[in-house]
Amino acid sequence: MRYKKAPILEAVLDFRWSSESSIEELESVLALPFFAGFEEPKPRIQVDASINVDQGEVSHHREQLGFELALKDGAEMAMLEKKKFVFVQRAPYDRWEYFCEQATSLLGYVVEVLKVEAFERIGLRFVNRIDIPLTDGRPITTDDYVTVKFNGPLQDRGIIEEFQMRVVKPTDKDGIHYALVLATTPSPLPGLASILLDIDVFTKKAISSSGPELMGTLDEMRSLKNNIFEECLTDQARALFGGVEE
Amino acid sequence: MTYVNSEKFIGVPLEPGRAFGEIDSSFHRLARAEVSNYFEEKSTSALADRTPVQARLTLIQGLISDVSMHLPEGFARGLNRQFANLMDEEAWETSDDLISPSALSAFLIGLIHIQTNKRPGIGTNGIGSVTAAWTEGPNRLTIEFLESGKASLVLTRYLDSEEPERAALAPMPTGRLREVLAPFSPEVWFDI
Repeated sequence: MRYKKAPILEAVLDFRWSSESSIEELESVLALPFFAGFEEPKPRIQVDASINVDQGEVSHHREQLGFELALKDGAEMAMLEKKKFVFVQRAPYDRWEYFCEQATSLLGYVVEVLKVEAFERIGLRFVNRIDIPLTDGRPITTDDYVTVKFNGPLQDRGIIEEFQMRVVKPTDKDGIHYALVLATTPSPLPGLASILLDIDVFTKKAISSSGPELMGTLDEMRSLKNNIFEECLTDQARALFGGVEE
Repeated sequence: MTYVNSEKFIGVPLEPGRAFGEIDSSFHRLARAEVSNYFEEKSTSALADRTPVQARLTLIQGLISDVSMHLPEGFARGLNRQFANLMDEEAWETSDDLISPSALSAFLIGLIHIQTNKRPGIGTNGIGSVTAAWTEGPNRLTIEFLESGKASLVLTRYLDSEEPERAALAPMPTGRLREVLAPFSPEVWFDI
């Protein structure tokens, strides 16, 4: 099942391993012809800055973590670092089969060249933004759209101006957990109120870097992610997504 | 619960492709204990390594991606390719102003508002605006989306007579476009 106007802002597959590769090794991966469709890789630089006001000290440390590359049309991005590979599909998202194939085909070359045997963490993350039309500027009732409710103190006007919530829980599958973010977020268009629904399903166990165990885990994570998404939404929210294609 | 979109939300819309990192940073800041007078900040970016044209193209592609679910299927990818070609480093005139984010927003809002199913040709006139053009035979429509958020237009339209009707309209709010174009039977351009 696929929503015609899926509210997916970005889809992310994130693979992490324990052994550290060198920048030169990462460059040798990106020199492979399979990455030729991407624009020139840009270095990913981490800057740590610290200020100790008592002692009047300022220090900073700069380190290249790896590289970032994107397709010319900006639709796909990849980040290759010393201990991780991240593949990002920006909106518009098409379908899982394409997304997963793109990510895992590139991943195959990464693990082969860097000799990664197992992942210590795999993350499958979908950031969704539910855009809700405002009628005559009237406020919306979030319970009409999302099933997560705010049951805090109500000695007030009963109105929410902003909220942010993040919950991390284990799923009922061994070694697979999820982080759920629900928050208000700025709307990109006038006349809408937007709610962020960010679902990050991730492993906390070693998974082989190729073969049936990897693919089976990804399928399982996708299924969990879809179930969480559906359970968070009401039919009124689903009606905003333009119907479904089987 | 009742959510009031107060339009006073602090912050900027999430950028598709970097939203996951922005969300993590936001919660990291909430969770971080600020002990006495010691502050620490980490940032990771590949953006600094881009030229101004590349950085603006990235921003534009992010804005298009951000509203892609409100556009007809295939529009966002097509527009992103068009802007990538328009802003190719070798083709871009260095004396031209970069496309303004507010002109681009007006362009995207305008596209959604006029409900076109046909993607326009795009261009810029060197002062930061976005020019959108639809041509169907001798019928031509060009709308210029300006940094002010408004849009001006010129058109040539053959209706019942052999003589074309021509119009040129001064900048107006994008919300007026549909109404203004209605007498010219815009379906010829928009496939609606």
